[in-house]
Amino acid sequence: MTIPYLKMDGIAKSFPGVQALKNVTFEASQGEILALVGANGAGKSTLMNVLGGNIEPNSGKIYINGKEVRISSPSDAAANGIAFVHQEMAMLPTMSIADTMYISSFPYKHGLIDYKTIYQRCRVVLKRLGCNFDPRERIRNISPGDQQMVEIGRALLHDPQIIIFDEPTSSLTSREKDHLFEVIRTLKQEGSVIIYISHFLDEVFSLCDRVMVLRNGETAGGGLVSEYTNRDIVKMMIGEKEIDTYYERSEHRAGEEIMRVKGIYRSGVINDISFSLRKGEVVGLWGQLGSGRTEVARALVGLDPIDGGTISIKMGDQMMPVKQSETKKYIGMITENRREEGLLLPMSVCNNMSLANLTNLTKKKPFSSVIDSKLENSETDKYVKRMDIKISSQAQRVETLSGGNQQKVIIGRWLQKNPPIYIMDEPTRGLDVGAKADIRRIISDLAEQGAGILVISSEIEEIMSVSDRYLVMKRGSIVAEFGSNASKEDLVATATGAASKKE
Amino acid sequence: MSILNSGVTQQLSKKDSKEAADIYWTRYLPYIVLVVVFAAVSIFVPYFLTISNLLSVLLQTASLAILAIGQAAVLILGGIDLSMPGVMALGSIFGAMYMRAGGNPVLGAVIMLLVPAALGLINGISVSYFGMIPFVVTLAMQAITIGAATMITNQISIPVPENFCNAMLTKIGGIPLPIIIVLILTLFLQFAVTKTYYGRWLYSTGTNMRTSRVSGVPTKKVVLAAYSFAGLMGGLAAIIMTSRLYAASPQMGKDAVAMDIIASAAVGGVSTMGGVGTAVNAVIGAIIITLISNVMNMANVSYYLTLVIKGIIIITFVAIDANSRKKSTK
Repeated sequence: MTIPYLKMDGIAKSFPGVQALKNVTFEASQGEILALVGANGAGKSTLMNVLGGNIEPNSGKIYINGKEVRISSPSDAAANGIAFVHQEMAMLPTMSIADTMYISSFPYKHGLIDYKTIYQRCRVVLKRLGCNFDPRERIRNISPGDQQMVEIGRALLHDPQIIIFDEPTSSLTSREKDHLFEVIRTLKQEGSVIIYISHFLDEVFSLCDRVMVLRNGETAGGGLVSEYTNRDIVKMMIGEKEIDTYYERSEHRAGEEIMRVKGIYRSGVINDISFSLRKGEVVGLWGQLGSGRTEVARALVGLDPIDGGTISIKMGDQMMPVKQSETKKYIGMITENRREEGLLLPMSVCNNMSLANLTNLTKKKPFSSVIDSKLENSETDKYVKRMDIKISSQAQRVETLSGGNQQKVIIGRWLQKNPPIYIMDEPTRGLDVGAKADIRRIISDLAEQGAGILVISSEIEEIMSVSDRYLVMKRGSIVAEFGSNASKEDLVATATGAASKKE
Repeated sequence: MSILNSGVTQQLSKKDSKEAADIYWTRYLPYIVLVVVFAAVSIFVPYFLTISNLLSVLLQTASLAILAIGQAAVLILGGIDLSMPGVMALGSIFGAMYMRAGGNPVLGAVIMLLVPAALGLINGISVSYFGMIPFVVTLAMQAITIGAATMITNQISIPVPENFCNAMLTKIGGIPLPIIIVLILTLFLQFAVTKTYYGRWLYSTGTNMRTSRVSGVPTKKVVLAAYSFAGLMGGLAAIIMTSRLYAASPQMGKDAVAMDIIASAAVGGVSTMGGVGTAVNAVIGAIIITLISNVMNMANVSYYLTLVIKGIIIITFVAIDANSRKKSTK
C-alpha cells in the first residue's frame, strides 16, 4: 500500500471535563470516499475541526502527502488544500450567490471588487457541479439543495485536494441527494480525498469506499465498506462491552391514554407524526440530532407552527381535540436550552418557580389577581425541599445557581402547576452525574404519580434508563416503535437507517 | 417583595446582599439624584421651598409623570413608545373640537382618553401580533398623529370651555386635582405591578419573552396591554395638559416631548432594556426632569442647549444601566 495522502497521527484533544479525542489515528487516500461515523459526541466533529483548523489539538501530527503540516487556523487549512462543507449552511439569504461564495476572499481590481472575474469563476465552478444558476441570483431564491451546491462551490473555489462533507444531506430531498452523490463521485474520480461524515448508514453503504468508526473519542474500527454489514458498524458505534450497570431501569405501570397525536406535520420539517401517550408511562423519543425530535416536541406545545394534524388530550373521561395554542395548559414543557427558554436569569428562585402557576397563587375575591406571597413562598419551599434544590434563600437569583439546580428550578415550576403531561427535551444536558441521576429519579417519580411523559435525550443510556416505550425518528418521521425490551442496537440501527432497506 | 422594589430587585439574604449591593447600587441612584437636584435648586432659587411653589412644580410635573408611567410599562416590557406626544395631542384636539361644537365636557374628556388608547392599541397589535419593531411602529405613529394634529388645527390652538379646565384644576384640601390623580394612580399601579400576577407577567415578559411563553404566560396579550395602557396614559395626560393650557394644541405633541418622557423613565431607574422599573421610578424621574427643565429655563439656557443636555442625560443613565447589566449577567 502506498503512503496515504492525508494522515492524522495520534490526535488528542480535551475540553474542560471531557476527553473528546484520545489518540486517534486517521488516514485517507486520493480517489476514495471515506465515511466517518459515530454516535452523537463520539468525536467526529472535533476530529474534523482539528483538520479544518478550527480546533487546536493537545497533541498529534498531521501529514499531507508525507510532509508534516501545521494547521492552526482555517486559513492554514485552506492553504493546505483542505475545504470544509458545513452542515449548517452559513448562508446570507439576501446576498447573491457570487457574494456568498467569495465573502471571505473578494478579489479586487483598482480598489473595487472585481465582479467580472468573480462571475466568470462562479459560473465555471457551478457548472462543474451541474448547476446553471446566474451567480447574481439571491440565495433566498434558490432551494436548500441548490444552496448546498453553492456551499460546495465555495469549498471548490480554491481547488482543494481534501474535501470534508459534514452531514450534507440533512436538509435535502432525495432527488437533491442523488445529485449531490453524483457530484461527490465526480470529485472522487478527479482525485480528491473525500471525507464524508454522516448519521445515516444507508448513505455510507451507497456512497463510500471505506469507513472509520469513532466511539467515545477513540477509533472503534474501520476498513472497506464492502467487508462490513450494517449491524457490524452499529456494533462498533455503540460498543459491545458497555452494559447498563449503573443506570437502573425502572418500570412504570401505564394506565389509560392521556394524549393522542394524529398526523401532525409541518412541510419540510416533520411528517405525519402520530402516537399516543398513556398515564404513568415514560415514552422515549429517540433519534439523531436533526431527526425532527425537538421539532415534534415544540410543535406539541405550540412553540413551532404546524400545517395540520390534531392533538387530543383526555379531559374528564373523553379525549378532546385541543387547539395547538391551548395545549400548553396541559403540558409541562422543558426545552433543551435552559438559559434562553427555561429561566428568568436575573429573577429570584421563587419568581422562577411560580411563573407557570401564578393564577393559582392568588388571594380570595375581590383580590383574585393579587399574588398571595405567603402561598407563593410556601409552594416554592415545598418543591425546593422535595427536589433538594440547593439555594441560600428563595430570593437568590437563578443565574447564580449551578446547572443542575437551575434545571430543578424549571422542573419545580411545572411540578407546582402539576399538568397531566410533561415533555422534556434533553432534561439533563450539561449536568454532572449526580444531578443527572436526580433528574432521572424525578422523571420516574412523576410517572409513578400518573403523569404521561415524553423524554428526548441524545444519550442512549439515559433514555433507556427511564423509558417504557420508544418512538424512533429519522428525517422528520417516526420510523419505528419499540417496547421496553428494545436493545440499544435496535434503537441505533433504526435511527441511522441501517435496519431499513436501501432507498 | 417590598412594594418599592420589583423585578430583579427584591429582598435578599445576607449572603447575596453584598454581591447584589455591588450590582444593583444603581437602584438607589434615582433617589440620590432627586435629593441632589432638589438640594441644589433650593439653595439657588429663593422661595423654592414654599408650599405654594412646590405644589406648582408638582402640578407642572403631573402630565409628564403620567406619560412617564405609560412609557415605563412599555419599557419594562422591553419595548419603547415614541408616539406618546403625538397620540396625546391628537386626543386632546379631538376632545376640544367635540366641545367646541357644543359637546358635553365629560364626553369631551372621554374622547381625549379613548382616542389615544385606541392608537396605543394599534401600536400594540402591530408589535405583538404582527411582530413589527416597536421603534419603527411608534415612530411612524408619532409622524401620523403629529401630522394629522397639525393639519386638522392648521397650527391654531383650539380653546376648551373654562368649566372643563376649572373642574380639572379644582383644589381638594388645597391640592390641585391633577396632583391627587397622579398620587392615586402611582399608588394603585405600584401595587398592581408589584403585587398582582399581571405585574409579574409584565416583568417576566420583559426579562425573557421566550421563557415566559414556554411557561404559559400570554405574552402577546401582555404586550398588547402595555402599549394600550401607554396610549391610555397619553389620554389622561392630554386631559390634564389641555386643562392647564385652556386649549388643545398640536404643540403638545412635538417630538422633543418624547425625549422628556424617555429621559424621565431612564433617570428614574426604569431600564430601557426591559424587566426593571416601577411607577414610582417613573414619577421620580419626571420630577427630576421637570426640576432640571425649570432651572435651565430660569438660567435662560437656550432651547437647543437644553436638548443637548437632556440627550446627554439619557445616554448617561442608559450607559449606567447597561454597565450594571453587564456585571449581573457575567
